[in-house]
Amino acid sequence: MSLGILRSRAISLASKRFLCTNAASASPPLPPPPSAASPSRWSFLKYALVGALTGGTVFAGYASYAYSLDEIEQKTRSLRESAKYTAGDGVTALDKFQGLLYSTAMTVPAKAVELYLDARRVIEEQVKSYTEPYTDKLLPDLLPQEQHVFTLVLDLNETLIHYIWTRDTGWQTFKRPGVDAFLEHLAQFYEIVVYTDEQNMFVDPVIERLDTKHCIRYRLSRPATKYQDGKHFRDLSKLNRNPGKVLYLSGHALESCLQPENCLPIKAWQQQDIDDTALLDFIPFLEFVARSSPPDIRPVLASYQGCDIPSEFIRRSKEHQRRMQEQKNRGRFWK
Amino acid sequence: MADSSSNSKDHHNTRVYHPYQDLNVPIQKLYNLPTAPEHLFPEEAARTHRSWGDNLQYYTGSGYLAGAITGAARGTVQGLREAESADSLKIRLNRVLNSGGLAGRRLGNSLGVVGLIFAGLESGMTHLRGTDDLVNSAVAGLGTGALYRAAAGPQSAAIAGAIGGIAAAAAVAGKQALKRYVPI
Repeated sequence: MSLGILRSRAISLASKRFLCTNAASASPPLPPPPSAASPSRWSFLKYALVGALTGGTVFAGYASYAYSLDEIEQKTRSLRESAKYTAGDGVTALDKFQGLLYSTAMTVPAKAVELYLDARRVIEEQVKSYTEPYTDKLLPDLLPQEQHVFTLVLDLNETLIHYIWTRDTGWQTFKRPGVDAFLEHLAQFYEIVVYTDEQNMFVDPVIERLDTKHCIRYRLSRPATKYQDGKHFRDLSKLNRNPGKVLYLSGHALESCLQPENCLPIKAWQQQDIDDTALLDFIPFLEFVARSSPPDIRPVLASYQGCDIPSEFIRRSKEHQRRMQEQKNRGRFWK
Repeated sequence: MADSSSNSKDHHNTRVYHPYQDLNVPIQKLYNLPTAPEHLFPEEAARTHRSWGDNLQYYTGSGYLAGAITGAARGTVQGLREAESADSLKIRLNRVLNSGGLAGRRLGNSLGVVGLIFAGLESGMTHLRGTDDLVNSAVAGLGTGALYRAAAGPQSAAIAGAIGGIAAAAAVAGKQALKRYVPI
């Protein structure tokens, strides 16, 4: 019957089939729709529940965005404590009943808040295991006879090396000019640490090739960095060293370190800059720092802030020599 | 010092630099700086051609992909041409998909196998002769054609070998001409 209806509607050739269609359309009407009373009641309850859950979710999202865990814990302490009611002595039956009723009414919000706090604490601890360095002491303790030694923390990409990928030659890794002499010379005065945001499997073969004389004592890679605002930062406070004796040398020093007062900015290097001498230019300054051994390097670096440190160091050395020469001349004049 | 001027090795591609030259101090340290970018991994720079693994993946994958696309297109056109006027849309679509899929898989597999054999033979030739040039590709093409048609008889294998050798030599010559005359 339905096939006949479809055929007649599609082709509509014979009037006989048309009469069949007409006969089908003359069938009795559908039964009346059921009563809308009971669906309305369930629908109201369903919408109320959905609204409550949505409101709770939105509020929890706003609380996660606007407040930290400790702030929420403090703000909701009174709410959570009001759910635990203990009847004191000497209260009337009416007051006891009112307190019991209030604590019962407050149980649901208090339980909800506690559930939210527990879930958030668990999630934040999980996230912290990815974003924080894997330990608070990234380096072992200094030897007793090396307490005066400065720690030179070096970055890797665009500071000691530069790697590039082209479809003609694939991956190529280049050494900065003078990096061998730089490491070998400064290993006499400093404890050299490489602290980079690259992965371990990249850092280990690079340093094995770069450091054939074992001038670099320690390697720290991406698990040792602190992930913050979408970037991997070096946290020099976790190096287990005196913060007044730590120097961080990098082509992106000020924007990749959490302690900018310990930073030595150097020009970022790429392989087409074959006349670069920035690493070797830093040798006089770093050697002078190691020999004079100031108790805290941070005021010294603060005085060099905004300058090109090697050229500023040379300028100050010349000025110092000129002043010493003038003093000698003045002494001779008095004689 | 490893790079100091007292070391008399490989002075030919370095220049001498004195970081203390602006300071009137008696420290005399000269460092040799390279005049060209210095590779950390010299084997990266010394690589002149793809490794045998890269060759295998490249030729097999691109051969299969080219064959699959070409075969699918040809099968689709053939399926469209075979459609009868009384067919419904579903039957027509089913025939087109069947024809395209079957022809695509068949031609893709054939070209993939050809790429596999060619990659193996060319890498073997490069390893044996120690050089990478036109002769390797031509001989590998000849061997590929002969191997591919070996089961069909010696005469068919000889003809296929000749076609393979000529095609490989033409491809390499075309690539070199393309590199020389087309400014990419």
